[in-house]
Amino acid sequence: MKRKVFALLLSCALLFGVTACSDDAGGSSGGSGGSAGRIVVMAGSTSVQPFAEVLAAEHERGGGSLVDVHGGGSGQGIASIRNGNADIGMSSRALRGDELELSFVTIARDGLALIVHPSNPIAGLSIEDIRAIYKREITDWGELGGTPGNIHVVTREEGSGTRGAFEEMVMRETQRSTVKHDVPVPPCEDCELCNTCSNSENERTIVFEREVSTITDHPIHARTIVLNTNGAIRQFVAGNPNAIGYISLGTVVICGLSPVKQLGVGGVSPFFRAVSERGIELFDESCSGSECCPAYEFNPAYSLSRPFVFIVGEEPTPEALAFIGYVLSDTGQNLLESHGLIKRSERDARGDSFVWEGV
Amino acid sequence: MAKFKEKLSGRIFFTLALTSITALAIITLFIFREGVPMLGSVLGSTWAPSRGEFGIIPMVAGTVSVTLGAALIGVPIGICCAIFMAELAPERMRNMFRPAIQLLAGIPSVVYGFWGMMFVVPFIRNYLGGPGLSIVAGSVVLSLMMLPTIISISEVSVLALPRTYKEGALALGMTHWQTIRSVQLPAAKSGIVAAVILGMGRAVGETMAVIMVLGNAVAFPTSVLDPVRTLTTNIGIEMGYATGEHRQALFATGIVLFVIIMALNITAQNLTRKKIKK
Repeated sequence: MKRKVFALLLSCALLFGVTACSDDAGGSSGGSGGSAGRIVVMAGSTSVQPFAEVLAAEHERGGGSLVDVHGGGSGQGIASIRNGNADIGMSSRALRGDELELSFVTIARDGLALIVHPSNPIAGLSIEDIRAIYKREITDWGELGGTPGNIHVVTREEGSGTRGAFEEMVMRETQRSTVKHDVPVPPCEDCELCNTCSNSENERTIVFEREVSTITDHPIHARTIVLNTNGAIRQFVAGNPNAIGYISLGTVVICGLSPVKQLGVGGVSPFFRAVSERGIELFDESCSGSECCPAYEFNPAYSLSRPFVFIVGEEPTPEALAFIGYVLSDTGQNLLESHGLIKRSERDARGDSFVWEGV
Repeated sequence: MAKFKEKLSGRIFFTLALTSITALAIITLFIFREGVPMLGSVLGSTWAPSRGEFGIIPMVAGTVSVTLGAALIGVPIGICCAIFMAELAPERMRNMFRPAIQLLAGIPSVVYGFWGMMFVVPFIRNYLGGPGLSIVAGSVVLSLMMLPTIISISEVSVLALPRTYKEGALALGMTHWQTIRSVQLPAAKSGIVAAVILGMGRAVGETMAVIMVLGNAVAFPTSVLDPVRTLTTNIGIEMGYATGEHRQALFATGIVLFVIIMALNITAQNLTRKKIKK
């Protein structure tokens, strides 16, 4: 029921603007008055934060209400919705467990980029290799066909959304195996409706095959260096020929920052080697200025990606809904894409906890 | 009337003085209230909050190793500098040194950290090996940061010695160096030890600079080129995302830190007090 009301509110906010909605919505949108409206308070993932700030600025420029964006981390984003401290919570990981009861919408996807020093000859690694590096089973670049030398592995701190995404996408190993079950078949008199009942004395069991997946979460080795921002990791990797680290894909292609090289994962590069409007091939090492910036494309086949999620409370304010509507609109989505995120797909929309009936 | 004014001003000063004590009491109470429930579970050797393990013993090892490393570099330099300033330096040079050392104390720790990250860490990586973010890098940065404490307190304790000690030694035919080594230094010993302990307290409590140069890995170090995490950096690096037990474990880390610093300060205080009694 709540979900329906929410969807209704959302579509109302979109179609008729904020004030037109107040008749149907009853008491829940008491604060709507004029275009200024109330301030929308957002809190949560520091990975989502910079994108939310860009969206908020554009939203305000277009006449929308003020949006105040705070950080705090994905955990705090979820907590702030539960205890009512924010209008919209931000999470950079998929919700799980009892968090799924909250109303959430996937706004875009971010990827993780594995980065190494530009002088590193290795072009890509498999997920298994990366996992082995972070488990310290592979400690020398020579073992991977690179220039021999100790691998200096760097990770994010515990609790970080980026680390959470890395642990989920790389360190989690899912093994599928088929398990055979011998199921005894009851004699015919016990089960009349059963098609497979056995009449003869010999066939007393049927063999079922069931696919079982076992999930193993491999811990990142304790000796791994820990740094607490995407920037610090890029800085470390840019200055250390033996280093490997991971950062948020959205923060990797920021022009003019220390050059690092992105690794392909499982033979798939995170970006198309697109040619920009000015005819410059991207990620050409000779090109490091701002002319390299404008055109690059995500490769949808790249496996290390994660959802960016907005969460709202049970009775979201019309201003908050209007902002979400803006984010999900073509303008908002194109803006996110131009900042390095992957647009929200049909698949993402199907996973949302309420039906999105936007325009 | 005058008496009343006296009394009133006394009361006002007392109330204001009480504020600082109350602040200390409130902070202490809060840290303990939050941290005590997890105090039992921080005594392990694995730190993995996502798996419910909150052992901080490797970080105690990290704090101890970095502090000892810093003392190893900083104490000889600091004491020599103090002796030079108290006994050997001409007046003019002393007047140059003192403000310079005060300036060293005034530099924000993030500046030390940044300098360490940009110069010390690459230097270690290129010439000593390893990733550069290491105990050595942290020790170098912290040794500079503890110098002002060590120098000023040691200098004061050498200067505070009765003049008769020095005059008597010189009158007995000792050279200046012999006087320093066998009369003044032993006599000022307790003050110098207090200076070293307070300097170490400074190193134990430092956070920002060491986050940037230590590498923050949670493991027992096997070499001085290994990255380690200290108790302070554990709080500094993870507070942003910590909730629930994780957050309580960080407060428990704070309690352990609190106890270590208290122990160091009480030791230093006892040493200086003993000297005054004499």
